[in-house]
Amino acid sequence: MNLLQKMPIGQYVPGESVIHRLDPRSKMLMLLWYMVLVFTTGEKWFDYMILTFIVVAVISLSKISVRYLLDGLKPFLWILLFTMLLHVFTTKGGEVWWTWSVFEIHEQGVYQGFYLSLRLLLLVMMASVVTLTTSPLDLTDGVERMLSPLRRIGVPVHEIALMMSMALRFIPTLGDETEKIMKAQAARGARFYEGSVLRRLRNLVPVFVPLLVATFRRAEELAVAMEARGYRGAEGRTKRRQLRFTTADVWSAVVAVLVSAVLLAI
Amino acid sequence: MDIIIEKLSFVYGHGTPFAKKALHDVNVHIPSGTFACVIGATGSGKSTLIQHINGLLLPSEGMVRVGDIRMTPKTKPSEVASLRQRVGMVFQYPETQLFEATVLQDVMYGPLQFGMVPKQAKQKALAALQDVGLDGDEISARSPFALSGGQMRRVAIAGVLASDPDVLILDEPSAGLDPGGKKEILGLIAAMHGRSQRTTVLVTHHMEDVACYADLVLVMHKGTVVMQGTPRQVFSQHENLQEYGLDLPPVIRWVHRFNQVLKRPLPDTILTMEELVAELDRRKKEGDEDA
Repeated sequence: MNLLQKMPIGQYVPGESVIHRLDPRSKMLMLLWYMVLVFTTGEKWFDYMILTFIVVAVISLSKISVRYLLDGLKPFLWILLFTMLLHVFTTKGGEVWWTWSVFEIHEQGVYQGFYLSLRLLLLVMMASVVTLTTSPLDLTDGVERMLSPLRRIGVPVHEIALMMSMALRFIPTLGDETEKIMKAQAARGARFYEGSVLRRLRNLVPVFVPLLVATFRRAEELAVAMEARGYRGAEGRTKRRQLRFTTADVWSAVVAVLVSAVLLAI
Repeated sequence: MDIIIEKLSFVYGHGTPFAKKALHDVNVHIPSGTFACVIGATGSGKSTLIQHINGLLLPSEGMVRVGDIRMTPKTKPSEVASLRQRVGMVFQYPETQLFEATVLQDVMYGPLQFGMVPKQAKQKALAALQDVGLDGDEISARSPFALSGGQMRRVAIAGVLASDPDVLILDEPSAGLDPGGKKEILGLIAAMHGRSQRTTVLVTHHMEDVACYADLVLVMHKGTVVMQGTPRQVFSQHENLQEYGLDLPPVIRWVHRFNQVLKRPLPDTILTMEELVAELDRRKKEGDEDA
C-alpha cells in the first residue's frame, strides 16, 4: 500500500456512473469551461450558488464517496487558508472592520478573501472529480487526441502523451518504492517524523538516494522492454481503443451551454 | 525475546475505497531463541505479518507482544521506536536501501541512529561485516554501489546486524541470487543463529531451507496462519500443503517416490539430504538388498 493511497489526490476510482462513462475529451473541455466560468463571474452570490450547485450535482452523479473526495482536499486546505488570509489583510476598500497596530481588516478584504478561496475550492473539487472518474489511460488518450492537430506543425504529440501516461503510471510505483525504502530505513532507526525541519530533511537522504538509483534503473529497464517489443514512436502506430462521443456527451454539452447562458443573462 | 501474536487482524488502507484485509485471526507463539520459518504462497500475508513484529505495521485488531513490548490497535507509532533496535528487519532485496558513500558508513548508519557513539558503531559495523563473510579492511572504504549483487546483499544484511538485534527477521534473503549465493547466505544465517541467543524469523520459498534449519514452521494461507509446528509435523501433512500451493522439500519428495518401489519403505521422518544418506548407509551395512 502506498503513501498516495493515504493521501488520495485525484487517484482514479473505477466506477460505472454517467460521469465515469463520459468521453475524457468532453470531461477535460468541460473542466476548462468551468474554469473560465469561475474566473469570469462577478462577485454575485447567486452566480456562486449556481457554480456550487453544478459541482455538487456532478459529484452526486459520479457516485464518488464524498468523504473520500474531501479527504483528498485536505492537503489543499493550507493554500486556501493562506489565500484567504492574504486577501483579508491586504485588500483595502469599504468599511474598516478591525484594526490592530499596522493590521487593518476592510470589508472588501473579507469579501475578496471569501470569494477567491471559494473559487479555488470549486475548481479543485471539479478537477478532482475529473481525475477521480477518468483512468489515467483515458486521460492521456484524450490529451493526445485533443492536441493531435499540433502534429502538423511538428509537435511530437504522441511522445508527449506517452510521457504523460508513463509519468502517471509510475506515480503509484514510485509511491510504493518510497514507502518500501522508508520502511527499510525506519527498521534501521531512521526517524522521519521527529526533530527540526532541517533534521527531518537530512533524515530523508537515506530515502532519496536509493529512490533515485531505483528510478534510473527502472527507466532503463522500461526503455529496454519497450524496444524489445518493437516500440518505435508514433510513426505508423494505430490505436485499439478509439474514443467516441456518446449521447451523454451531447447532453452534458447542452447543459453546459444552458448554464453559461443563464450566468450571462443575470 | 519471545514473540506472541494473538487474534491479529490487519487492514491496509483503512477507510479508503482501496481498503484490503491482509491478515485475519493470526495466533502465533515463537519462543525465544527459535529459528522460525514462514512459508506460504505469494500474497498469503507473510510480509504483512512480519512487519508487525518490529512495529512497522500496527494491528487493526488483536495484539502483538515482542519481549515486554505490547502492541494493540491503540499503540502509537512513536511508542514502538525502541522496538526497532531490538528487532532487526531485512527486507526483500535489501540492497535497494544502500545510500552512503562507503560500505562502512552505510553499515554504521543503523547503530548511529540508535544512539551508539561513532567508535562503538564502527566496531559493531566491522563485526557485522565479518559476520556476513566480508573482509572489513578490504571492503569498508568502497562505494556500496560498486559491489556485486551478492556483496551488496551482504552489506545490506550487515547494516541490520550491526545494531545487534535480539530478533532478526529476514524476508526472502536469498531471492534473486544464484544457487551458490543462495546456499551461502542461508548458511551464514544459520551459523549466526547458532552462535547467538537470537530469535530468527525467516520468510522463504525454499522448502529445503525449512527442512534443514527451522525449529518452527508457520504456514500461511489467505491471510492467516493455517499450520504451525516442527518441519516434521508440517511436512507430514503434504495433502494440506498442496492445497495451500506449497511443495515438499525435494528430499521428502524423493523418499515418497522411492518408497513406492521399496519392500521396506524409508521412514518419513527423513527431512534432509544428510539424514537420507545416513539412513541409506545404515541399510547398506545391514546388507539390505534395496540399498
